[in-house]
Amino acid sequence: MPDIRTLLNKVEQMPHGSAKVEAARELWNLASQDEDASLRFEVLCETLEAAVFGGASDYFLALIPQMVRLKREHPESIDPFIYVWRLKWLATDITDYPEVPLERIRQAEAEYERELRNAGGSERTAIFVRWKNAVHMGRFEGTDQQKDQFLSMRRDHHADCLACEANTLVRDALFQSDHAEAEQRAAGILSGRTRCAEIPHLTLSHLALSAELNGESEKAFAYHQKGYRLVRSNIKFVGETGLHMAYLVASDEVDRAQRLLKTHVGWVEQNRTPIAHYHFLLGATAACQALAEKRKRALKLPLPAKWLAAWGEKPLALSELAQRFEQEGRSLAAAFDRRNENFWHTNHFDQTLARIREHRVSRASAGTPESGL
Amino acid sequence: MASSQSQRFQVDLAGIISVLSQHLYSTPTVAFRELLQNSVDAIAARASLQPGHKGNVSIELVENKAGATLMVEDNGVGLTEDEVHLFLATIGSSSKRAETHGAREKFIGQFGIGMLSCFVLSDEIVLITRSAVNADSPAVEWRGRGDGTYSVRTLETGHPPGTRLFLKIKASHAHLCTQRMLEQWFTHYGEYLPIPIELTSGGKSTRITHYSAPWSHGGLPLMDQADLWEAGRRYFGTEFIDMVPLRSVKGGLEGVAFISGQSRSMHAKPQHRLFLKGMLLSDQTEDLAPDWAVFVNIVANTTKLQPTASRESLVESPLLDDTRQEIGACLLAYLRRLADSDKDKLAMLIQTHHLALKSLALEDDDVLRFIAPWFQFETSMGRMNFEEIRRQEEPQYCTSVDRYRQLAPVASAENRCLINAGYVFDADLMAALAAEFPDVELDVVSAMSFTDQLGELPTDKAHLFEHLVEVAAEALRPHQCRVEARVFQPATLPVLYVQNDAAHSKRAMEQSKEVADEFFSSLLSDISSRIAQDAYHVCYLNAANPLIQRLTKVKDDRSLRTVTEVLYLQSLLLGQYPITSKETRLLSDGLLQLIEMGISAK
Repeated sequence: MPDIRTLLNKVEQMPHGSAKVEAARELWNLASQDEDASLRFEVLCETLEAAVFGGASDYFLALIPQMVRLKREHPESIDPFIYVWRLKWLATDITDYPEVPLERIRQAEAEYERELRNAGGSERTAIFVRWKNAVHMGRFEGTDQQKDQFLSMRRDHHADCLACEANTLVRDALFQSDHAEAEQRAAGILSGRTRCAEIPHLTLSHLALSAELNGESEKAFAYHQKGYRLVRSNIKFVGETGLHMAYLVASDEVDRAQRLLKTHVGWVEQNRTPIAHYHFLLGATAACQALAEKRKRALKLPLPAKWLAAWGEKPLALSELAQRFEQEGRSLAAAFDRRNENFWHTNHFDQTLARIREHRVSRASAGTPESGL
Repeated sequence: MASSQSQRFQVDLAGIISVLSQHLYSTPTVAFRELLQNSVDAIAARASLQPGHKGNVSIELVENKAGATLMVEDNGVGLTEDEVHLFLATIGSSSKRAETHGAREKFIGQFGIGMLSCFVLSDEIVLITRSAVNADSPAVEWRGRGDGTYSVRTLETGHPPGTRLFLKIKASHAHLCTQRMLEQWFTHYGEYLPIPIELTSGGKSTRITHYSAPWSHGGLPLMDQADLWEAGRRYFGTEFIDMVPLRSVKGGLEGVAFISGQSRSMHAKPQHRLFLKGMLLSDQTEDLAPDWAVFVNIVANTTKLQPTASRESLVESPLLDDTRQEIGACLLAYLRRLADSDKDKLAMLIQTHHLALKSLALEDDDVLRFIAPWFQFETSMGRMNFEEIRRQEEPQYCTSVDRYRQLAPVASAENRCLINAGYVFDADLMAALAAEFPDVELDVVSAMSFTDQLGELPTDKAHLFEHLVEVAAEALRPHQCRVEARVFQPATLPVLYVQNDAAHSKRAMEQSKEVADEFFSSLLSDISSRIAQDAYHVCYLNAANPLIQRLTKVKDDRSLRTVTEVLYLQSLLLGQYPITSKETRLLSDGLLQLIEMGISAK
């Protein structure tokens, strides 16, 4: 049997996705008992990375305490830079789980900041992380000041890459319904100058819907065309496939939205990240509502186990499917809002659905030509 | 208030020369390239002023007791005394950038720093030059020294127009200036320059430049096929299975892509041999081809791509992006030609380089449509390509190898087409194919959505299995495993064990909780409730199996527990799951008990 290092090299070379998560998990099972703490750390960090970029954020969160333990017991075997970087993922990814209370998020931010300082990182990234979390939770009070603050500070090697940072600024603008600002912030990404493993994938997916709802159909179509191709094949992006579905419904490409729903609904079982489910459910609800209005028949979907168990195996009428998806989405939005102590997600869910419907109906009645999809 | 006054920076010229000449370039042999480059550019400059001018370059090595002297002579445009002061004594000033001598695009160099590399080889550069532009101008001698000083004098003696350069080679670099090494290095850099270049040493002359090149423009005719194959072998030290002509209009690039016959990692960075206007820029260029084209090594010449100042790599630019795309298009056109003319070769290529081609198909819908039928997948009905899969009724795919192994026996027995998409890119490809070919009912299968298709127990028989299921559930609860009785094929399979992805996370959380501090323990508790909803293993007892049917008649719960545990562990082994030491002990104990029960019964 090849040694662990050889296997690690092989796993490192795999592209991100389900297969890499599976391989990394097996490798960690093998390596976790190895006597060499440095090797254990390397394998663990690779597994954490595979999980984060492969849509297995719950597995990432489950493994993080193992990394902390390794540092506690073998500090000499730990690369502090990589350690702190993984803690940053933790400090931001936990906002994706509505069960994690605000207090715990603050603790995670503080823990990250402490380790960041120990590793010689600057205050900039600490402020960025607090700002990013606040934006993602719809807690906008004071975020403009935080944004001005970190943007005026010098970047260091703990900062997110330029593409990721620009994408977060785009999301910030979109969350505050400022499409023009989002477009401006996305300029570098859209021109192809700044990109990384997940950018422009995320940016295009969010901008497509926003551009369509803001009357920029040509741009929206281009964002969708390019963006969907980038997200359609990694379960990490199940939420983004939901946004593309929402875009298609808004642009009255309902049949195409149905295809996306059928293709990606099974991913919900594999990527168990609640915020990704939220975005998927938004698109799925919009799609089923539109299909029901167009009097389409019942739809047989390869539903995830928990919905199959709860909703039964028989194909559901589209109006009923729409209701089920909406209930799930609203319930998730409410869970986020309870934790975030606001109504941002519920309002966003309701308002976006209403805007999509209104836009679709007006496009259909205006007889806007098909986009050519 | 004090008035502001402009001041000049103080520049340590000797220091700058040292930095530029010793640290800008990766190897001292780059000086040979710079020498060739200056000569070739001088000849191009003269040809643009005097069309029809035939240029040539002579290199001579003179060795004596005092050491070795390298002389490089060209019949190019030469310099006047004013130009010598302007271009040779000012770092960063270049006759080629100033457009003094005709069209800049014909020149290879342009930064005005190349000559400095000669100071790595020699403490002094002596250059005798006479301008071809002004017939009355005298020859000029320029002596530049590594300490940053220089002197110039005009010569009375007659010199033909052109430039002659002398380097007295430092003892520390004498090993680079033997006849053999000079031939090797000048050939390395200049073998495809479109000007005759000759090296003379010890009375023996050798031609450095070839009479043909792997590209057709730039002055030399195109090499024949046999020479190209040989060049590929020589440059990359390996055999190739095919060659593809390349052309990028935007990048002014022409050359050949050699197709590797050996599989390469998707992270491989194949190295390409790139020439700039006939001069080797680098034999380690990595980013010339699209990322997916890991299966090619390229030899090409460009007239438009921009080199960095060290001239050892390319400047990242939209032009380079466009060039990559055009190279990608050439490779794609080649694959399409194979699909029409040589299907066997295409099949072999796809088999060898399936990862690269799958990655390409995921990037480009056109490629996906064209190449998808050629990809082979493991299915419960044998290996199939996508064309064959399309013809199956409601094919489904698993995104994990483990899950495929769990479900394939059942799918096979029930004649259902289940695809193993657990390998790299396969799940991505299935999702892309499902989106691209909506007429194919191609769905991802979850463990539950698959097993929900297993037959329910007939209502009149369900009660017979109640007790067995109850006892088995209790026995398997410590293993986080639910138990259900269903009817499925093959009837020879008593138990189907199905594991869920979320169960991995749940198990990892439980292990982590044991080592976590208070904060992480609380965090894991926060999210574990969500994971627990999805995390399950299920053991399906097959009511069609004779052994399971007989177990419904066993009244002894202890025996039932033992048999259930052994069946459960056997299903783990059949599913190729690793079993823990605890489970191994359980299996061993269970088997012993079964043996005992068997003997006692007799």
